[in-house]
Amino acid sequence: MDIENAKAQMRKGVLELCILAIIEEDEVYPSDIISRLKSNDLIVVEGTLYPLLTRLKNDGLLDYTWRESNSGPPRKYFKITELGRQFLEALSDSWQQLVHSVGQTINKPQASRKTRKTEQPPAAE
Amino acid sequence: MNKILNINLGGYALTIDDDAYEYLSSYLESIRKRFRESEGRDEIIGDIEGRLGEVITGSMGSRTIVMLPDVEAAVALMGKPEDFGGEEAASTTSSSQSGSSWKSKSSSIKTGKRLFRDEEDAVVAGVCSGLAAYFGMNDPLWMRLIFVLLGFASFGFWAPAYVLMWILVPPAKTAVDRLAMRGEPANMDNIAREVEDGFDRIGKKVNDMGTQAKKNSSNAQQVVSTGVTAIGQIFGFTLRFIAKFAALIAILIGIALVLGLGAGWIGSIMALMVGAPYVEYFSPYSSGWTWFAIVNIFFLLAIPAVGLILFFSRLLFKTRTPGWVTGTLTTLFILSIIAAFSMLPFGIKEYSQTGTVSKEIDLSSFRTDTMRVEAIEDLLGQRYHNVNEFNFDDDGVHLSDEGLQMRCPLEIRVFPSKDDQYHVTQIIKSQGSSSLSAQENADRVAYSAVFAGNTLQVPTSYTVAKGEKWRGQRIRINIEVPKGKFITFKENIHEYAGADLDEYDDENDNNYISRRPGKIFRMGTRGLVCADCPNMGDKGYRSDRNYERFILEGDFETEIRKGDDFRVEIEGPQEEKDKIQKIQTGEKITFTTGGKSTNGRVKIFIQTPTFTSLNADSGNITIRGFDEGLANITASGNAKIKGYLDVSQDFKLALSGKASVELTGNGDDMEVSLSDDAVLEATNWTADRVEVSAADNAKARLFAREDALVLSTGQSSVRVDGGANVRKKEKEEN
Repeated sequence: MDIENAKAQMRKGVLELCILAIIEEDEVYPSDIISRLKSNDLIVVEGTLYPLLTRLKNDGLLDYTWRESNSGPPRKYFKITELGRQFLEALSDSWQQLVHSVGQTINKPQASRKTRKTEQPPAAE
Repeated sequence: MNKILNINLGGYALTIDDDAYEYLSSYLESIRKRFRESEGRDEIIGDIEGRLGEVITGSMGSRTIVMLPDVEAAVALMGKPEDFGGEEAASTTSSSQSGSSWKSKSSSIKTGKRLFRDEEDAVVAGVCSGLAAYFGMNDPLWMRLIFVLLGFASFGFWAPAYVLMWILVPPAKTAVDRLAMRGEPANMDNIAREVEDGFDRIGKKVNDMGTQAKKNSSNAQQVVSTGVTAIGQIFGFTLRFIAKFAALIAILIGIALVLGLGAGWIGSIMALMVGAPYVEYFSPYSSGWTWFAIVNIFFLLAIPAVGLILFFSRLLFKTRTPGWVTGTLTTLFILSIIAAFSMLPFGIKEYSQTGTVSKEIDLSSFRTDTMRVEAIEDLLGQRYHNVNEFNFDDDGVHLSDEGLQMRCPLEIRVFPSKDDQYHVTQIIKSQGSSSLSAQENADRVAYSAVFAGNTLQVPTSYTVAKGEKWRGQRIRINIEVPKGKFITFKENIHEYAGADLDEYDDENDNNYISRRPGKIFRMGTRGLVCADCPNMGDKGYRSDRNYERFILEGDFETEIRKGDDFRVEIEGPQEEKDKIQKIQTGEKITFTTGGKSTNGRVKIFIQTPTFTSLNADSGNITIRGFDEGLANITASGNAKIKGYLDVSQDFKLALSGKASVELTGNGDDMEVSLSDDAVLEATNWTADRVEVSAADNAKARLFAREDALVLSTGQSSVRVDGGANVRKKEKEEN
């Protein structure tokens, strides 16, 4: 229970970074984001995503457009704004820094593991 | 068989089973609550609905009706609202307060409105602001005002109610709590559970701390932390026990509060029923407004009582009070308070001004040197004493067809007169809204002191006529006594007029009129001086026994006055005093000079509890303050007697020689015989019946109200005033 909670807290911190990173690659709609995050074990429940998206949009980091869908009602497609891009850069810089520092601190004996999974947060393990 | 519904879920048209719909809508409601304070709530919910629709549609396959498992699967995918994290600080508390999390679709999801204390907006403990939020008031100030007013109105008995709520009502700690504090009405747990929960939370916290400590500790410390956990458990158990006990006490206090208010209410209804006829006289308002005020007072008493009953029944039995009831009660209560406060100034104004009406009492029939003052004891509190119903007569208030008869506050003051006449002024004071209306109020009271014979008769009650108002009318009587003249108050006046008689006393203890009822006071240069009070100290002769028959032979001056014990004091130069001889025989005591002269330089003071006879052959004699059943006075030679005494039954006077007797007082029968040059002046001695026989040159003036039997021979003259039936007595009967 408590270990789950700790993991969730860790994930929450990096979720914004990941969402911005996914959206920067391409215009996506939420289900795409969810499947990407899920495949990488970054979220447990989908509900977490929507409040985050709304907040990022309200902060001016994201924007969206409505697109017709062939399987249902129109969908929101998100894309990153210029502000979002700057934010993402700053975030990912500090993330790299953090990963390095954290790795230095906790993983000294197993340095090989650190290099293997640079792109992913330690919580994924 | 189940109902189905057609819904639009985020753009997806779904045909959904009733159960599944219930589940889905309560889930969405919980999300709505979760994001209540978030800016983009509608957008978030829209997105989630859309995603749910997508997931459910995707899971349908060839089926057409959405069933409960479909929704459950989609909800599991989406997650519980408290697992969403992010926007709210609620996530930390939701993990510790597992009870409030979204688990089942039972009533716990509709947390609804709950009473919390708002500690963030608290003056004392946030009870008022919590209540204000609960009743949908925007500003807790009003609730605080109500509490303060109730505190005063109940003379502080309201304070335990506050403390009770302080104990029972939990503080709004989390955002969820704060929302629920202002949310829609819902069930409330009973008192016992509330208190228990409150203590449970503490107990749990203690346990958690123990667990936490256990987890953080190394193996070496494990023993210690197990101990901590055990202590925590014991502590929690104790708290739960205390909680149960506190709940019991809280319930008892609640019942007592409700009963107390109810009893006060019933009591005031009964008081009103008894006092209704009197209210009109005392109310500062006109008839209509008076009844409005009474109704208003009942609202002020009843609404908190009803409110408390509703509150406790809600806590105990989970009854729901409809919003309009609480709304109406609150509105009525506030209106009552406003009405009370706006009427109060008018009521006070009615008493704000003072007015007086003065009247000089006619003293034209007054001729002696002693004014008697007596209270007219109207029969208030006596005549109606046995009437077998509620009345206030015993307290000096009587209601009749004419109006309200009341014992009046009476104040009698004695001043020295500026001229050589007595003056009596009667002043009626009253309150009113203006000095003019106060004067009118004073004028409307039926009251008048009268002077008859030598007595000022002071009524002790007045009547407020029907339709008029009592406005604190009070009576003051100013009596001006000329220097050297006397005034005496009958004992009964002290019951009514009290200490104001002390106005003109000097330091001498004897001169306190109120301590010397029935005494005669002389107006001296320094005010009133008791003229017949025992003032002999221990220097006088004190006898072991009392004498009541006095024989005085000699040219000395004598004063006989009433006192508690028998004493004699002889004043004068020693050589003159030595001439006085005392002879005691039986009840008789004789003072005699044995034919010698004291040259008028000796004065004998005699104090005695009783007086029955006096036999004097010379000298000036004063008799004061007796109230006897019978008395016998024989005077001869040139004895001069002044008597201030009441003799109720049998008063015999025998005067001869050049004796003269002057009498003040009253009684039933008087029998007088005069001869030689004797003079009797008794117009101030009010008798019912007199029998007079006068011979030689004797002169007599008497006052009789009923019968007078007169025999006058020789040059004698007899005059009888007072309207008695005067008959001449035949000579041969003598």
